[in-house]
Amino acid sequence: MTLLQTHNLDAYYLDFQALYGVSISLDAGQIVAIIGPNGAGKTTLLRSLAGWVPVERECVTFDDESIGGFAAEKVVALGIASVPEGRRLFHSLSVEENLLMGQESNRSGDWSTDTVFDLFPVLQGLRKRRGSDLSGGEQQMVAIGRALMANPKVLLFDELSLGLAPTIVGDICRTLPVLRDKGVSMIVVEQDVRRALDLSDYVYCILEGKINLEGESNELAFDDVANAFFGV
Amino acid sequence: MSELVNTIIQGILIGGLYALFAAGLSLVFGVMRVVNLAHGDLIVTGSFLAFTATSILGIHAALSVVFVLPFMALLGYSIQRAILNRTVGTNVLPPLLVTFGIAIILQNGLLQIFTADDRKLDFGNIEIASMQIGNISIGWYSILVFVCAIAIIAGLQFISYKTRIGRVLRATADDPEVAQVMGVNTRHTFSVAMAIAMVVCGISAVLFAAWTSFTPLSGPSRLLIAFEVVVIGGLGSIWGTLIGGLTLGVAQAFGGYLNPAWQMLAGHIAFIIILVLRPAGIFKGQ
Repeated sequence: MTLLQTHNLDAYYLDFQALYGVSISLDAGQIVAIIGPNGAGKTTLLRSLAGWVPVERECVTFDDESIGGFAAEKVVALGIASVPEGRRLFHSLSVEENLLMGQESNRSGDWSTDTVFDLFPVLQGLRKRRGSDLSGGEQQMVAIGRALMANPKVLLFDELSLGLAPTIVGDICRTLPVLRDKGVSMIVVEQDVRRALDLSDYVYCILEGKINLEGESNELAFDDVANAFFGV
Repeated sequence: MSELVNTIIQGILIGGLYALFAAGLSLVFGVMRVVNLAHGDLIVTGSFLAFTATSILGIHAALSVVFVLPFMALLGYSIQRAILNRTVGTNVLPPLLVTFGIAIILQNGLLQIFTADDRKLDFGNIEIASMQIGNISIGWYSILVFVCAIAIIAGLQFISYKTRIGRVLRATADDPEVAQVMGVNTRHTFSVAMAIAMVVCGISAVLFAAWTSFTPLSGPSRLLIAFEVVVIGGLGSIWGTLIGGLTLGVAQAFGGYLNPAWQMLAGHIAFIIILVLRPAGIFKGQ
């Protein structure tokens, strides 16, 4: 069942067009990876879905409803939560308070600070610490937990591994299938092609604002993806 | 000697009120990054409202808060929602111009309605009653004002750190974009922040209206005090605001003790000295 889709999506930053006719689709229970070099439009695509970038109403559908251009607070209330690029924790709030901010969308469900601490036990001991006092990996866990607190159907994950130690990235990647089993579908932006293929069910490769390759992750050859990445 | 001690105690007591002037300004700047140039005139508007309620209804001045506070909250929310939200997140100039415009409208509107006459709220006997400790006498009204100020500042601290709206306000101050992605309606949050700031203004407006007389043109001097307190205490620290208020109050009282004409001057000098020594305020970075 298709959960979230874009149809010929164009997106702009001021006068600059960042996306040209991008069509992607996320099924329920799926992990979709978006790969591509810097400046290709990956983040713009996620931001268009999350309501940060104004786009045409019909260009984005969620549960068969057109939601393009909805304000960010409405998008999350529908069940599309975000883990923003660079984590962007609220630096003057404690870990626990950061997590509680995830509930501002008022969606009911199983996620609570306790279930987040079950998923990332290391955060339990850091509850009272401020967001800015944590390591990058810990911050990423808080950012994920904060998004999960919205009890989302879809998680938009920008730059999963950027700036994190490899062991932490491994830990975080291992949680994605756990989340999928709990009914969270995901769109993950990732720069590392091999990791993106490993963790996802389906891959879209973006170059200069257009999709230039897509396919089932286990059917695509690494070399083809790498060539698409560099536009060869 | 006892006269000096007396002056300093007076300074501390009025310092609490100065802190209240500043708390609203600091809150609004902290959350919205808006420097509200109409802050002083909004305080004076509150004072006139208290004056009107008291003279029309014949109630005790202290009871006027029943009218003043809801009105100020509503006024703050509406101004933010209808006007100031359009300037948030632009550069610094639009909010300055818009709040400056609001200040002019308020001053002239009050002049039209109330004329330029001096007004004062009458709190009754408590204004002249005092407590005697040895050679030192402390007015009960000053003590009342100070206790109110401490209670309100503690209340603001409680709201900020122990309640959901406080958490949302601090998060929105940190990163409004991400707060929105979490589901926060930032336009509403900004307006609530302004409403809270205006309630604090309303309380200080009533207290100050009985402390000294006011006219429709008293706003800018209130604003100046609020600015100096915020700079002395350091932005973003609620207790820093209190320390800033006390510092300014004591400096003014001490100046006035040396020579009655030096009262305001001494406050400004203290402000400049702290601005030079600790540009980010006494409490910044602690």
